[in-house]
Amino acid sequence: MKDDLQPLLPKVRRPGRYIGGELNQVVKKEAGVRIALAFPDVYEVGMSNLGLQILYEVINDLPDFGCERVFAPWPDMEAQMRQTRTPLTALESARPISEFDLIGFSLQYELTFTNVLNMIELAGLPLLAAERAGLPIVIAGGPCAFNPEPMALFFDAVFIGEAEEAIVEIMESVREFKEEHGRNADRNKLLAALSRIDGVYVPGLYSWTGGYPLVSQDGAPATVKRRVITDFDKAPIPKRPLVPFLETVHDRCVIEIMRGCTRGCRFCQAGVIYRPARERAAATIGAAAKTQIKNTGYEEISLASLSATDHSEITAALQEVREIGFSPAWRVSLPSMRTDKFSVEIAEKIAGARKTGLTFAPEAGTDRLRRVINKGLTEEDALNAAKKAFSSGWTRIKLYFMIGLPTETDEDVSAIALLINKILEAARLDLGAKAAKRLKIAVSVSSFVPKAHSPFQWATMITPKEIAGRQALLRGDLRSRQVELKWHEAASSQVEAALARGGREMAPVIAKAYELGARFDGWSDHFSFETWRRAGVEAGIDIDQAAKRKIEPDDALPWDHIDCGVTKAWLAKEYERSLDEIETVDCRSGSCSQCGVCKDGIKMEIRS
Amino acid sequence: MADIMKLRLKFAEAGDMRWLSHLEITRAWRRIVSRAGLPVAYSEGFSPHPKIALSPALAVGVGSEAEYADIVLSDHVPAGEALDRVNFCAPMGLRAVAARAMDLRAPTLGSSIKIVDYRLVVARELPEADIATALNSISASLLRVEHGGKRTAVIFRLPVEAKLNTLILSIEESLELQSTLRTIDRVAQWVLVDDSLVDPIDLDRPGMDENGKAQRDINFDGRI
Repeated sequence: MKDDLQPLLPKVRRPGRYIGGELNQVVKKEAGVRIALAFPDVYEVGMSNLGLQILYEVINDLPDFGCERVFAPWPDMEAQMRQTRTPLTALESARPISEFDLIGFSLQYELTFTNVLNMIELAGLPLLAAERAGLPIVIAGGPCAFNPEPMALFFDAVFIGEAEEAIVEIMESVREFKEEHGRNADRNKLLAALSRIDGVYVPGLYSWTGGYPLVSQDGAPATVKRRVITDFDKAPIPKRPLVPFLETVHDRCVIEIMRGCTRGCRFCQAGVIYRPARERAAATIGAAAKTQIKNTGYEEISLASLSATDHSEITAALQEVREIGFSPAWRVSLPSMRTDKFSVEIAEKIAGARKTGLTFAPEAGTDRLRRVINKGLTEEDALNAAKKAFSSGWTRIKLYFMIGLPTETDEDVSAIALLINKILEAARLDLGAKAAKRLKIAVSVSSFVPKAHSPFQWATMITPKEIAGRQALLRGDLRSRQVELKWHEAASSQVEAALARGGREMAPVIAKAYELGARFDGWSDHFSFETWRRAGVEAGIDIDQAAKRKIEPDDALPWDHIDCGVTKAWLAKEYERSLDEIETVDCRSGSCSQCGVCKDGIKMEIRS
Repeated sequence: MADIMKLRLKFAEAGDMRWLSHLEITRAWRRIVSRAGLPVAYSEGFSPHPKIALSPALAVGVGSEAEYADIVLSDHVPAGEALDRVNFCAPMGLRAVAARAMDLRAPTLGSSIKIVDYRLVVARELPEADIATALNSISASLLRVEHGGKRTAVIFRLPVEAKLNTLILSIEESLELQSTLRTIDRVAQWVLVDDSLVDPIDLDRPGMDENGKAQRDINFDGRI
């Protein structure tokens, strides 16, 4: 089988994307049930995904289950595959993924949806679930599965939540089906069985007649409950992560030190769908880090979470991990730090003499707007963090902002520039004019996109014209040569918004865009808004309207049958409070805002 | 930590390893050496790098039976032990076949390797006269032709600075191989010592050819 790919490899860029064979790869000759984990983006992006590494090891640690990987072929490879009619194969065995029992897609961002269709078709399978027979079952999971509807017709099943335990139940169910009926039997029995597993949504069992909420049939549950891992400290951490030959986006060991976040930023979907916050003990983190380093040879480790410096044992955890320092190149990185003095002190400890850059995310320009989004951060905090960074020796910081947040005015946008100028002014006072001249501030501005299951799911997305206007405003106010301003693609945010809150009516648009050649839409040099607009026209959907659609509080939502654990009433209350500029407390404060997630044994797992 | 010794490894890039770039192979060795726990020496500065240097870059798509890595260590490790340790930690297809402790001041691989032998295998029979003409046109010297079944293997020699990819294209063109399956492997790299070809792993011994026969004459026809 592998020989089929060999003649194509000389004709593509970076053939190393397609060969597998990395350190710690698992190849199983015999396995009762096989799954191909499919990541609908290029190898270097997919291999940086932590969920993939976790599930790969969880499944392959079981004697009778086999897990392999497949990534989206880059357009040059796709062209070769189509020309030679070479099917999409998994890296480990080079076996066509159509011969697997399951294909499991990871949906990390909406702009990979056309790649999903491409991979299904390159596998030689019909795009629509209803047109497929027997095995493999095509299933999806990940954050975008929380509004599965735009992609619902393409998947046999969608998994909602954290898959470490459920994947085993799903594979067991497929094994029973195979043993009893064989690969090519009527799959309805299997789909019914899968729908009885908590967290599994089988779109074919929910009828859609154009409206919402969807109604379940044939015994499928009315709402699908998100799966949550409890006792997170004991949950599996990869011991032998795959070590890619290619330089990947996050090319290092990663230990997830905390899942979930206690802050409750209202634009943030992750802040809701990973609730409640669960921490791992510093000792667990240290031991896992040692194991990974020994088994990979990496000289860098990243302590991942949504807000690393909130971890109650972060100082101890860093101590544990820094002590591993076996080589002069040893490096610890902490992505996603809070914008405060404490975080800079932590950063200083891990950076040592190597102060390359420090990133903060104030998100908005005014205290008012930060109250709206519940960022829990004042201008004073931001100034103090920046001042502390410069006085500690950093010469370059990076600031993340969003434009288009609900209630935003021109004043809020201009305030972004004011804040940056205040930071530079403060640096001049602290360090003197000469030293301050050397400082650089990189400002990255993205457009707010309302996401399902966040308090802002009812809000509207600003139009490309409004985005252009606010960008011009900001550009006019930020003329310092010390500031480097970067925008996030405005047009692709529109498509992202249309998909993020779309329903099943979006399926023909996605299929059409795919047919018109849309691929790798998250890559600015591949994205074409024209393609999507045309696809919309042909499918009878106005993309621009779909993106900026404001949803009324009483409207049924396409994702109402997906129960993320947090109640819709709480989300609605949070949205109301945001418009009133009222902040909501952090779960760590000791008081509870009654979001509803902590029940049935699920609770916050905070170390101290 | 001081530099104590230079460990020279000879290794093979078999199977799919041929599809990796020089940079990717270098990164792989960095991980292997780290996993193997060898006391590798690092450069100074804010961003220290392990002192690992490979033999001249191999084109993507070309496999090899004779690649070399020089690794500077900050402590003594017997060469044989180092060989076992790296092989225990290397991914399939990257296999060290020999190791030798070198003088720290020994010339680098990049500066000392002058001549490289390749083997082109095509899934077709090729007349020897055509092969000779084709190789002649690119100033490569023919070492050997092996016929077997429907395959022909052509072993030829080039100066290290020759651009292999360009040469392969012109060989393919003159032999009309474009649509034929073919593989290319580097089979040897040579250092010149007193006009003899010596395997870089063997520097203080006379060079051997692929058959293990002592090889004292330059088997190169002087057209460099």
